[in-house]
Order: sequence, then C-alpha cells, then structure tokens
Amino acid sequence: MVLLIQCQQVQKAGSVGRSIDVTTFKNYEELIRAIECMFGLDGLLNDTKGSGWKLVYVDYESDVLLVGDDPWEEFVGCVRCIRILSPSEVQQMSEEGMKLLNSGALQGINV
Amino acid sequence: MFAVQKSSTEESSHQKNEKNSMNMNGNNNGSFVKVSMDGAPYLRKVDLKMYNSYPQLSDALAKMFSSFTIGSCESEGMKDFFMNERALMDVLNSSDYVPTYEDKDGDWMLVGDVPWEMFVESCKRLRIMKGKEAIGLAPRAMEKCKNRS
Repeated sequence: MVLLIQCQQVQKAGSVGRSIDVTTFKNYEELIRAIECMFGLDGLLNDTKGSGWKLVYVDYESDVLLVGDDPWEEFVGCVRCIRILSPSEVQQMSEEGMKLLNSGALQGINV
Repeated sequence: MFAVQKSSTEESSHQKNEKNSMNMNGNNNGSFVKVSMDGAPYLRKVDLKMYNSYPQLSDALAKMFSSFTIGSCESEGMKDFFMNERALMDVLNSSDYVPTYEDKDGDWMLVGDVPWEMFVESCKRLRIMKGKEAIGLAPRAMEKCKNRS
C-alpha cells in the first residue's frame, strides 16, 4: 500500500516559499488564514474587495486561476501550487497582458 | 493610460454558491467552467447553472473582469453584444471584447447563437477574446445579421 503525501508550494515574490498540504484544511477560510499567517499578511488575502492582494493557483492544466471560485473539494483536487500576488504585481501583470494583446502577440494563442 | 479599477461587487463564484446553499457533500451539481479574458493576469471560474440567460451571464462576467479593462466602456460593449446582435459589428470594429466558448467537440464558438439551455449543456470553457482576435468569427455572424435586417 502506498501513502501519497501531497504538498503544494505557496510562493510570494520577495519571500521564501512555503509548502502546505491543502487537504489538512477544511475550507477556503482555514486555508487563507493559514497562508496569511505564514506570510504576515493577516487580513489582506481574505479581504479581496479592499486590499488588492490576490491569491491565485496553478491547476493541473497549467492555468492560473483565482482561489475561491471552485467548490472546495474541486479546488483540492486540481490545485498544484499557489501564488500570492501583491496589488502592484496584479497591476503589472494586467498591463503586460494588455500590451501583448494590443501588439498582436497573443494572436493564435489558445487560452 | 492604463488603470486597474477595483470592482466592489467582485466576489468568488464559490462564495455566491454558498449563499444559495449547497448540499452536505459540497456537490451542488454545478456546471463550473473556466473563464479567461485575453490579457488578464488570471482566470476565473463560473457556475453556468447559476444563471438563466445570456444577459445574466454577461452581467456577471462584466463584473468579474471589470478591474482588468480600461474604464467601463469595454465591459458595456460586451453587455450590449448579448442584448443586441447588431452591436456585434460595432464591438468587433472597436476592438472591444467578444465572448467565445469551447463546446463539447473542442470547437471555439461565438456565445449567443444557441438557446441558453443548450449553451449550458455544451459549454466546456469560456474565453473573452479581444475583438480583433475574433475577426475570424465575423463572416458567419455578418451573414446572420444580414439575414435578419
């Protein structure tokens, strides 16, 4: 019998990465609170309306998605790693995406 | 100048589902599909079964992605598209956003052609394309517009 221990990395630019096992949490609230605690971002990741910080993850299809849209069980099944984006990172990525788009560089790329 | 606007109504699809109650094992028989918008830094997911019509879906998508567009005019353009097909040409020409979806056969189709229920059944993924990227879809849609007017 094989015991499969899954770990997902949690990364934040400028910080040392952490590893967690999302199956040890019951729901999004617990997960987000734990990540906030690990990175000293208390109250910033759950308050998506005001803070500008975003918690995103990479799934098994290599897409980057916002944490929280899926039912919890679905999320646990497909999350591969998690990333914390600061407000300026989000803005920078949006600007770069728009620039690429307007320059026609995204033509033909299937998202 | 590019500005990232904060949408005060932005909330996760999952939070919305919780408010509408889920059964005990967490499976609400939802129809969750990925939604990408060209140029946005990350994707979202929506439960198509939460909506009853194209205008409802377009409203939700506009709110979700409003923070990634310049001003509200581009998301308004997408709403108009669902309401009025003649706006399609304006939308494409002004390089606003055009909603497309991947169907069961893996083909990328323009959103809005089939009855809503049929769309929910066959939609596997949504992609909000920049208008110019969707030019290839225009010939079929133009024909349809011509036949209508």
